[in-house]
Amino acid sequence: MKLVEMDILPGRETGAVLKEVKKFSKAMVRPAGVEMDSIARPGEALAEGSALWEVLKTFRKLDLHLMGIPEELGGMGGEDWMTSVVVAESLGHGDPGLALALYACCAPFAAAALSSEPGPRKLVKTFCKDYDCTLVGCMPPAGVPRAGKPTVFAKMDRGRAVINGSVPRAANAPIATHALVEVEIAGRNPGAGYALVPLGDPGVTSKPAVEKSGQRPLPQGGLAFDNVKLPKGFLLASTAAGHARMKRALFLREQKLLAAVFSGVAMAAFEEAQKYAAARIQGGVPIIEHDNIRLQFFHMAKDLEAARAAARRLAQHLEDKPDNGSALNATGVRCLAMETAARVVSEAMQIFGGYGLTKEFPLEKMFRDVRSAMVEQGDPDALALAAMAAG
Amino acid sequence: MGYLDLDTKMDRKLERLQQQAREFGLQVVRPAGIALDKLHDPADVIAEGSLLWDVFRQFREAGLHKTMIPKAYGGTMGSVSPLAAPLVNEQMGYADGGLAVSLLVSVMPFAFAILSPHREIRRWAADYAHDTSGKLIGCWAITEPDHGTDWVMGTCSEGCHPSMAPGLTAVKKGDEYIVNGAKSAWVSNGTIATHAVLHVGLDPSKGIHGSGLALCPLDLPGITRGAPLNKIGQRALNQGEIFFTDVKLPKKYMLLPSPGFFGKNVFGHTFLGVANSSMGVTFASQAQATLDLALDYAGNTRRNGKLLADKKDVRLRLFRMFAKVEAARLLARKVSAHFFSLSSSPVSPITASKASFWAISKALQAYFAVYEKSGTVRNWSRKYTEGPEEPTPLMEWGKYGVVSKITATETALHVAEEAMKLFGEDALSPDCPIEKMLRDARASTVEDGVNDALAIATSESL
Ligand SMILES: Cc1cc2nc3c(=O)[nH]c(=O)nc-3n(C[C@H](O)[C@H](O)[C@H](O)COP(=O)(O)OP(=O)(O)OC[C@H]3O[C@@H](n4cnc5c(N)ncnc54)[C@H](O)[C@@H]3O)c2cc1C
Repeated sequence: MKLVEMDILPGRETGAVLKEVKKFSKAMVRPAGVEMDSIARPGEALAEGSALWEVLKTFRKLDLHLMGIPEELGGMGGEDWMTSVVVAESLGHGDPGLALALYACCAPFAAAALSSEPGPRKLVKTFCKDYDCTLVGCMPPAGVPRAGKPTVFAKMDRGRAVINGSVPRAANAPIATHALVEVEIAGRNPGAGYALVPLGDPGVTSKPAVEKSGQRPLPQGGLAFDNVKLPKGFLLASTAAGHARMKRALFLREQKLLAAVFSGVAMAAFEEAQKYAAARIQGGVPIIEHDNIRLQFFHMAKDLEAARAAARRLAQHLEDKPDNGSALNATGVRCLAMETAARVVSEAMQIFGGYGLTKEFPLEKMFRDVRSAMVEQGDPDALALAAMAAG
Repeated sequence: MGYLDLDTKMDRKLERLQQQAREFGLQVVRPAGIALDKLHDPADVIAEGSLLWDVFRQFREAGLHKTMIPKAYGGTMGSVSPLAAPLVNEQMGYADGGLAVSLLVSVMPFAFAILSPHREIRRWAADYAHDTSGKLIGCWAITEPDHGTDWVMGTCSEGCHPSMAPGLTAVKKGDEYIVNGAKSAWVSNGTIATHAVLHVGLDPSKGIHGSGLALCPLDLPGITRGAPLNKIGQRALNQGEIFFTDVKLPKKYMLLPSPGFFGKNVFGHTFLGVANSSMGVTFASQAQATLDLALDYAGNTRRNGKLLADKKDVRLRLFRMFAKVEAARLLARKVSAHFFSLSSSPVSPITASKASFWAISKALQAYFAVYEKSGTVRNWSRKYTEGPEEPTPLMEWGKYGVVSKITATETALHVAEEAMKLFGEDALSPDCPIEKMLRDARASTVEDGVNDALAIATSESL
């Protein structure tokens, strides 16, 4: 029983990168995730020197933070779709919470790279060389285009934006230095943009990391802004067209990422169950020899391959036509991946019997991770309806 | 929202009992379950001063534990409607799935005690009925680290395979059995129980079919316990291993000393059904509790300016949940009440042994009167302890217990998943039990047998 890679793998150079990523994910991300998950108080997992920081730093050592940042700013230039998907799959395979933390860690800087202003561009250059992780990004979930309203407001004061408001939950908030937040701009109609907020500003309060059931290694918290004056140029995408483009891009990127990360979780559950079923003896034989178990594996494989293929197809489409992705397509792919991951993890747990429920095996954590993703990153039905409304 | 009680057999007395159990459940059991679930170290669940002990004590003080002990032993079984036990169990499941299991399984050795020919052991039942302090706690020690589903398969033909022989063995030596081996970390109440229904291997050549059944006080020298199990769901339910090292078990405690009772026969089939039917009641009710919270939430929460209960997608979801919950609940109650109704049927003559006639007839009356009703049991011990027999109408009941368990646990899981989606991030707020209900339900599809394995084993009686 073996799943083969059905896509044509990228060239030798990227192949080598992917191999490194897989190694990193297996040797470091997975165990760090398990360790952070088991820490009772979320704050403790974030302390300096903890497994989290090791993961964040190693990710940069592998230059993975340079993906998608233009070469003239110190990045690797555009990323190819296959690399981005396989990296996300691999990281999700290791730990979905950490995969999302790593993404949020870079996202504000990748967005800043699109600016033509000197301030943000300089920050991006520093970020590219920042192997000690002194710059850490933070982001609330990207909303569906044309749905929901910003909860943060900007007013212009002598050419600089002043920010007020709050976001209830943002990835990396407790550890980040910069947040990318959607804002409504007062006095302009329609007026919206993205604020790149330096979190060291005295007007920023960060609510402590929240206690949660799944994706515990992903540090989350709330942010409140009280008259935070942004440095010049740190209000991004503030034209109507610019804002719409960035919103769409962030949303589509997030769908692609989530689809790939959760396909990775489904793969991990499948593989763990495979190992377990070959070793666990019941009825006098390894349980993989019982036809009911084989049937379970078949359906898990069938479903997870479909979800992976869809994630890759979306990624390829977004690379070919970055401005052309539809919310309906992207949300469909992401929901398929989430639902598949939830189902595959649950099936794999049944294969583990009682052992799947204990902390000794990774399944119970995968279950919590997938389930809390479903609520934190949105109810599939609500997303579906938002996507239908957005068209 | 209002539920109609579709049971035409409800009366005022039952309604009062139901109300009493409901209040106890919501005031004591539910909050205790939520608090115990949050304890990071499962050892704290059973620490001195833990809320768990309040739950046990108050359950007994209220007399709610008596519904599964026959009247002759100080219980109420036989003197009240067969609906009484399911109604109480429903309310415990409604309050907290894990604690409901803890309270339920606790009765097992004491209920089985009445099957013993020894007066001293039969008295356990009365002691339990009169225990208002919660000091007597039972468990069902059946599965082992290397044999989980093997025990489920033990109730069908497959269970005779020698490779499935129990790891925990009892070897007869004079007036004692020497017991060695371990029961699994899943044994509910495993680290706190005072008494166990203990399955032991007697004849390894017959696999699970070569096992016997003992009633074992757990304070015998050589018995030790593992650490409380740390698991995803039903965290308020204590679980843990029980180890036996050269334990000398006096032979009076061996209830069924000849191998073969646990095979393709009446006992084997009914055994699973009895446990499963209680699980069915518990988790159908947990599903109802989840639905009630979801309805309440939808009726009181606005998103983007619109009441959730006014959105068509939400209404569709809620109604589908309702349909599943009611189907599961009706089935579970019917199957369980059917079992208890058999306990009040007349007892036909038994020729097994005059000395133990009284005990056996009471025992059968209480637990296996189902066999009596069909008039097929003449010699219970022979019937129970000897190999495969012709299927009888008696064997039919067990599979209903299994159907009830599978339906209820899958419903509880499904409904909890749906509710999680509806609540979104609110499911994660500290005093919202929805996310916990999902984890509790997740464990239930493995508990008392993995659902698919139960189905395959029991399919033999279709
Ligand atoms: C909350 C909870 C409470 C519990 N309470 C108790 C208790 O009070 N007392 C007690 O003794 N035990 C208890 N258990 C243990 C429970 O009965 C076992 O976990 C269950 O029977 C499965 O056994 P296992 O975990 O060893 O899984 P395994 O037997 O290893 O099963 C693994 C997988 O293989 C499949 N499989 C195994 N054998 C076969 C076969 N022959 N044919 C086809 N498929 C097969 C199963 O369906 C399953 O999917 C409890 C478990 C839980 C989760």
